[in-house]
Amino acid sequence: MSQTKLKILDAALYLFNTYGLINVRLQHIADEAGISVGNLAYHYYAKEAIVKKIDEDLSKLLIPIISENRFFPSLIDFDNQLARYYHMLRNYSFYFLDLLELKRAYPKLYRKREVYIKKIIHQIENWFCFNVERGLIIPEIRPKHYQVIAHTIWMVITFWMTKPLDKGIPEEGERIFKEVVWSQVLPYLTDTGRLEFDLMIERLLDSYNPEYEVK
Amino acid sequence: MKATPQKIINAAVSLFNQFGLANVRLQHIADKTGISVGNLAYHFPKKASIIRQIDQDLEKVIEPLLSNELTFPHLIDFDNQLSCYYALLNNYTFYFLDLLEMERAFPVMHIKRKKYIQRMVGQIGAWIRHHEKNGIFQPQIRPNQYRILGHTIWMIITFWMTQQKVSNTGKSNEGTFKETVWNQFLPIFTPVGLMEYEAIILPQLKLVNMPDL
Repeated sequence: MSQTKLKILDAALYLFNTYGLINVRLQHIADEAGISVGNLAYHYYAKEAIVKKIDEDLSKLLIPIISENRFFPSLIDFDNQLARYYHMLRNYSFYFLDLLELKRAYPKLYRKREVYIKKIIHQIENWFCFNVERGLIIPEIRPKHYQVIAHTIWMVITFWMTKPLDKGIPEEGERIFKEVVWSQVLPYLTDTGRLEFDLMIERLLDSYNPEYEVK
Repeated sequence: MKATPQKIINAAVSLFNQFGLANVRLQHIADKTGISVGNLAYHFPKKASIIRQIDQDLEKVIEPLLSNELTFPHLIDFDNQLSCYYALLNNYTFYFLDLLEMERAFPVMHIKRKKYIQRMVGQIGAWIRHHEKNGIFQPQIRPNQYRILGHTIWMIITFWMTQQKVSNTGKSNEGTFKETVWNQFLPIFTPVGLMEYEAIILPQLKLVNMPDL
């Protein structure tokens, strides 16, 4: 891809994340990229084309994460998975903040997203079931219980960036994000699971800046 | 309130819920009410005046929910609280969907909302701690566990309507909502707590989950 195209995409992504998808026009993107609108239009004829390209980039990040072949047997692999999600939330926050706008204005892109959502929830549920077999997680206490928990974890991930806006506090950082998700798993760990958690995950969480606190 | 202003407010809330706060104009509200824009402007000169009235109505609904005197000694009281929240989500969906627009265009409403949210998170947290002491919930197994749990429950409530629209999981349903919240408590009940849950809450949930006739 040409330098100019990259510059345009970077500028657009930055503006979408800062001002929201709906409030950004081609003129803003051109200004931010330091080029003329005419030059911009030569590379991308409309905002839609830019959004489509950014969506493709995002898919490249997301598809490997939710790929069914992705095998994450130990707890640390799930933690790595969370780090990947967090990275995505930070770099493409508009994609999570402007959900309904995205749905209204770009229905085609949105349909792709609905498929991703199902896959994410399904993958988390499978992870629970797999670790039941491994003896790290207790068997379901009610039928379909882990499906509901997987759905809740998906909600925590998806609305993580909206939450600060709602509570009027800054985004709380990767450590707290991970803590909140891990808290969903914690009550279901077996003794073996808890041991692995204390040895691997607790240490990792401790390695983040301790000044962060749940507010 | 007299008949026409109330009709206008009802129409406005219904349109906001359906199309979003940003996408509704006075003309739409007048059409939906079945009056002229002139007549509407006589009662509410601007969209902001309608919003102010809705905000006052909301206060009457939310304040009792968050009242400090409100104690819920039994699990069923919390279940009732969840029903109230669900009604609020349903009747004022826009209040939970259009945060960005609200912050931008109606900051007074947004600031008030943030205060409600703080109290709501505090109330849920206090409720969990109360029942931990009471022997309904087990002691927490990790520092901050229940504080985080309170947060997560608040997230489930606040983003319930958005997730419904986003994930396209069909019609909104009070039973699924309540079940999702109660599932958060399921692993931390003591045997006593579980007994109360199974005797009182579970039959209640099954009742709500019955398909509409």
